[in-house]
Amino acid sequence: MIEIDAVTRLYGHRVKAVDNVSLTVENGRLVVIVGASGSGKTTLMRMINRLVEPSSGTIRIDGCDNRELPGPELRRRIGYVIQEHGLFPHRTAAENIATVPKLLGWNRKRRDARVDELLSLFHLEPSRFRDRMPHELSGGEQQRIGVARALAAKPAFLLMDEPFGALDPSIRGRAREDLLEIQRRLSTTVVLVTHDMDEAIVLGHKIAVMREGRLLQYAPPAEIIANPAADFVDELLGGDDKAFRMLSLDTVDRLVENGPAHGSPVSCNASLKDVLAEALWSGRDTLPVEKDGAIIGRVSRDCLIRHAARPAS
Amino acid sequence: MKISIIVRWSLLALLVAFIVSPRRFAPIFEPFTQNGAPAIYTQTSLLSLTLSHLAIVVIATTAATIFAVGLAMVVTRPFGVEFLPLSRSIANIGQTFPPVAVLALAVPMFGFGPIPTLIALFLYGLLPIFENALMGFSTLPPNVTEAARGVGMTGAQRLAQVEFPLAFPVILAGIRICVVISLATATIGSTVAAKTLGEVIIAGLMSNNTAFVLQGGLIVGILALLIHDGFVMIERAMARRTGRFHVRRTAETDGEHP
Repeated sequence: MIEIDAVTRLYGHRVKAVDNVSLTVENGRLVVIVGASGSGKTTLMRMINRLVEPSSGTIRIDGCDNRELPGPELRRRIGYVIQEHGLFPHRTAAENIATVPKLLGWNRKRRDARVDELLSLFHLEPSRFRDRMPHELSGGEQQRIGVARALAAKPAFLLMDEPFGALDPSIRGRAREDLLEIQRRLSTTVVLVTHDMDEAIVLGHKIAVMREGRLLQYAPPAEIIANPAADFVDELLGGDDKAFRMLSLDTVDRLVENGPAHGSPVSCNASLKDVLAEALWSGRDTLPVEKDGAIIGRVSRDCLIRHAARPAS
Repeated sequence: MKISIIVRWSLLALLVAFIVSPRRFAPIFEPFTQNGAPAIYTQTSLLSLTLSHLAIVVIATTAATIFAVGLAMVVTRPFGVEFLPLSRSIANIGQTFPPVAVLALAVPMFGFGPIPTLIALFLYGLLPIFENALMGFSTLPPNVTEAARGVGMTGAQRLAQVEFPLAFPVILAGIRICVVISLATATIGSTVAAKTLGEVIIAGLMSNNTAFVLQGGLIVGILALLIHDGFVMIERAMARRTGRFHVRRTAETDGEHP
């Protein structure tokens, strides 16, 4: 658990980069801090592993003040994924991944095993990628090596600063899915910073919206969409297509009902938004839903549309 | 590329052959002599002069490198920033002070011999190495230094494992400049009894023997050329390893590898 308690960070004497922010990140959750540049979101995250020291307030990690350990030691326990990946250009992919284990004094054999394990986890074949230099990797591969490096010493916490910002839009979606998958599997507690509300909604169990150093709202995505706490949050959401954002939060397996339906089936993991789009496009009132290749029922267009309505608050 | 390598190796072979047995080359230098003067300098063996010349350059450059790189490291740390202007002036004074003047001042203190020359070369070499090291340490990619901090490296670990290796190619370029300058400048050391190839040149000037001046100058020139090339090759190899030449290429193919 990360407890941020009344934290303020001053730059100079007056400018408050972060202004009296309190929030708690429960273990195993993925929290996204979203805001424009200069909103203090990155500063807030960097105070967790003390790359920036708070001017006042405290941050507790699993109940312990994060100032109890020296900075470098604290940071070895918290995975950190930096903007633009920040791989060490003079070290191979394997050496990059093994950075923290090496700092922690793991022996060679244990490091090598961990490197291969992580490369496989990120769908990079160890024998092909181990000895590549960062400049020999594509943007997507660099990004995965960057996350693998952060996870190498099995930290319970992971901080990510715009981890997908440098990626092509075409592979960004896939990278996000991979992150969600890995987060679920390892149940790492993740704090991720982004300026992109869409990304926040897709990834976050909870979203913290920041503006000018202040925390405007801290809530699950559905609540942020349904009840934005301030005009600014509403603005970030883009106003018009909230219904579709709402639909994008859920997968169709929740709405499956019994009964026949015609045409090609949709996957039970597809988002409501994609399924509704398919229903509208193919002109069908009901669609069959499949799971692992077998039809498990159907979903109706009316039911989907009902789910797009603003929840009663 | 192939041809240039052949040229370099032949040049090196020629140089070694000349230094080891200069007498065989006498016919080439004879046209530059007058009144039957000797074509080849024989008072001291060219081999021992060359080795001593190189030794003086290596010692002076090594000392200048240690001092200048150390200084650059200090002034790029948070605690050393205040010393940046001071160290810049030290390096600049070292460069502006003519080596001949340094010799003149050092001889009364240290006497004749190699020491005044070593001092002059040391001072003269500080600036290029210091400026390059400073550039190397202060133009590191910010996300890489940030990553080094983020993974939990201490200040010393960051310096040794990330900052120094990344700045090294730039530092090496400074050392290269320093070595080339020193190779040429070391010749004046012979005026104060340092054993360098300057001895041959000075002997030629004193006895009006162009052949001596020519062979002394040629050895120094070819040495400088070959050493310069060697450095450039090492710098290139390192830059290739860290991908500095590939920046544009990776930016274009920023997708999955085939």
